[in-house]
Amino acid sequence: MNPRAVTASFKQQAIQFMADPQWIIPSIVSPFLFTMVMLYIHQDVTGPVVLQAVLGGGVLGMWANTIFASSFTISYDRMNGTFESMLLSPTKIFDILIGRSIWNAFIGLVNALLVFAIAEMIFRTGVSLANPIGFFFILALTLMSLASFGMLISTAFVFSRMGRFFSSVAEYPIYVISGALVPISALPVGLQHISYLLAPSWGVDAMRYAAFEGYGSMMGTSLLTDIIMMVMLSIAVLIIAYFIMNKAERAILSAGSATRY
Amino acid sequence: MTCPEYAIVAEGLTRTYGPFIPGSAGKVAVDGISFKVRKGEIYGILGPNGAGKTTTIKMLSTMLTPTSGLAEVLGMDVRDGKNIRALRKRINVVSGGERGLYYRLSGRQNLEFFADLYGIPKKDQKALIESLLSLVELIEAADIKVENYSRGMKQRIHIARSLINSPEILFLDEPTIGLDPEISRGIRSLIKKLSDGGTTVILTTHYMFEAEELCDNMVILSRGRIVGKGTVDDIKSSISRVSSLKIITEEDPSDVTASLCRENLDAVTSRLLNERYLTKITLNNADRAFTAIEDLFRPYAISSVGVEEPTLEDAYLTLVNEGL
Amino acid sequence: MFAYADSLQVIAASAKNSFINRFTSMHPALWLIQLLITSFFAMYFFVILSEYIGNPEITVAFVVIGNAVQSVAATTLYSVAEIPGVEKHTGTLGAIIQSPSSLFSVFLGMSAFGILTGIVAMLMSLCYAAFVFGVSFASCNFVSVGVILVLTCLSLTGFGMIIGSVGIRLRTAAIMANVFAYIGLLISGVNFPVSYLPGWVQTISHCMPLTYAVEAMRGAVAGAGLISILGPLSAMVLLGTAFIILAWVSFRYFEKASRRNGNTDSF
Repeated sequence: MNPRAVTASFKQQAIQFMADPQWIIPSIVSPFLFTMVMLYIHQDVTGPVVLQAVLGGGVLGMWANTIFASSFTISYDRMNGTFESMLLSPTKIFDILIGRSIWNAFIGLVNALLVFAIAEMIFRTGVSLANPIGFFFILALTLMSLASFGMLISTAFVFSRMGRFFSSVAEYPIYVISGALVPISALPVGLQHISYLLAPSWGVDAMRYAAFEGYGSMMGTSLLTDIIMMVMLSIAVLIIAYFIMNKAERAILSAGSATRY
Repeated sequence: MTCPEYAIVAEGLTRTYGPFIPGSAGKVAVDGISFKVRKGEIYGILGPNGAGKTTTIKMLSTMLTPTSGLAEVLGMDVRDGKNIRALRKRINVVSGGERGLYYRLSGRQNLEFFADLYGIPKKDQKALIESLLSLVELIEAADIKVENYSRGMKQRIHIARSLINSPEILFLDEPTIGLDPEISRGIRSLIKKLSDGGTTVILTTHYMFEAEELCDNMVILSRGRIVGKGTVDDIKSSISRVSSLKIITEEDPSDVTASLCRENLDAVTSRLLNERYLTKITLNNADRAFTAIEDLFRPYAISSVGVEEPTLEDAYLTLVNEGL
Repeated sequence: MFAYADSLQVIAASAKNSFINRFTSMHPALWLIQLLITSFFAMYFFVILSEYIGNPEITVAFVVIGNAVQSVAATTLYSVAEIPGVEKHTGTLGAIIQSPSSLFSVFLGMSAFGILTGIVAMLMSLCYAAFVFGVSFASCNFVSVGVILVLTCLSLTGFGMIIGSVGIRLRTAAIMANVFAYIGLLISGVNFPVSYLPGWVQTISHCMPLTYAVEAMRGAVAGAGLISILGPLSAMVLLGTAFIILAWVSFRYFEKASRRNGNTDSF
């Protein structure tokens, strides 16, 4: 890994992000609206319900941000004509994507906090976390697991220019299987299996342990199992992403398809 | 004020951009320029980047409202909103560059779309588009998506698009920028052909030979102002007829060169590889008769004498730099 | 309404352009797959959410029909609103303005693709409602459904065009469209009755054609004929007409403004 390339691409992604307010939709507006919809359907709005809805909305925002930002990041370079210069540079695309994914994950955290703050302002239920320090530790880990998942998505788009297709198709299915608003245990068994393969699903369960007093896991696992599963799955995803990337870089050079979009 | 002889009459044309408070001073892109373009002529607008060429074209082609001044195009005032539709039917614009086309449509589909936007009757479209495609030599590539076109092909389809309404005035903003010499030549001969057919052409370019080859008349802009105007010869002679005299001698004439320099003439002698000496003397107007200078060099065994007249590029650079 | 005799030609050409343009960038089969997946999961997400929460007032049929209508907002509104911004991005907006045809006609024509997408999305969603989520269409009044479908698409096209016209000037039109598309989920009675909302939000709800479309559609599926849903239908016609007129005015305004500011090609 090349730390300088990672920092540079983190910074570049940050500037790009601030200049284009498009991200507000998937990261803030939609999760906020989903949180509100959940609360309105609920009617009986108490502290734990708000916490669950807000937690769910926040995680949805983190997910949405990962999917949108990761599938667009390379497409955007293709459109701008900067993808070729990236390939030409001695830096590995993988390192550039690491920097960008870390930024995207970081923004996911900002989203989660914003959704939380807005909902708290509206409902004023005085939500409290059972174990705040543990919660933020797990939240950070979950963000890392999302970043690694984002890497996997981004690498796929080194091959393809269908970023937009993917992000629009993946949005709602991910909302369903993420276990964020509706716990995984409420899903049909087939979908549950897919959820178990996603590192962030374990992260959400772990966060609930830290958020709710006396939480009985919705995945039927202990807090420690949740954390181990999340870390292991994240590492596995990163390794897969790395191999895809090496293949993709070679494929694109032989196909000469870097400038099309 | 309407002169049927002129396609365009601009008087004191001015355009200011921003800032956002009306009335306060912004950047003056075009500063009170006046010129007239005869029907059927090729008129050049020359100037460095940011001189106001594109802004002028935008104003004349109804795409930008002048801040002040007057512009009549085909006898119609461009400031009057009522004229815009009528005018747009009779003019067209080509901007240089690769944008401005539907990349995912073929060349032919691009032309069909714009034919409809210009209200060309369906029954005439097929023949018209075919003739335009053949004019720009894109018949074979007509059904390929524009994203697969080379830069030259994109520029030619741009030109074909701009001819869809058989415009009386065609504005060409740097039409040969970034194109190879052969394609550029093809485009220049196309421009001449259009002009011969009666189309008035307004051309901006950075290539002096292009302006020299094509333009009947031209203006040179610098920082939004006109610094030169007229035919190529007018412009050349407007820079105080600077010429340079080159004398090659068998022996070293440094003494004479030094004495000329004392008379404030710009003279330099250099030694050539073949053991001869080249002296270059820049002369303003008829500072001194050529023959008199030639006589001074005779003792050094002159092998050749030549006079270099200023090029359009010399004139352009002088005018633009004076304008700064 | 149209100041120019050639408007029909312009609208038809622009419609054709929008289809070629979209279907060459995305194969029609892929487009259908995208719609099949998104309309299903958008609906399914809210179904499991409401089932999980278990509010007795909110049945599966309620959520499913609401989201079937919302699918038009999510597709038509967005794809209509993004057009001017996209034209600006490709650099073709200048050439369009330069032509003697009116921007309104061009963009109305280019909305054709978005309208088709909306119709297909709603039809798919209604099929999901019937065959996956078991909503009974036994007493459904299909004439009413057809009329609602057309009116929903038209009013959202008008609304999308108003937002889109802003895209001639600003980069944010697509974002605004998206915000409105999502807000529909919350304030138009898609997932829960409008009456749950605070009074002032309800006032906004009643300015949105989607609110009436959802209400009318629930009636039509239950068997209501055109006469009994005349209220929401006429509200949609009224709002739709108002939107189209406003869109026309807005395009005229931005067309003129672009001449004053000369910013047709920055993006």
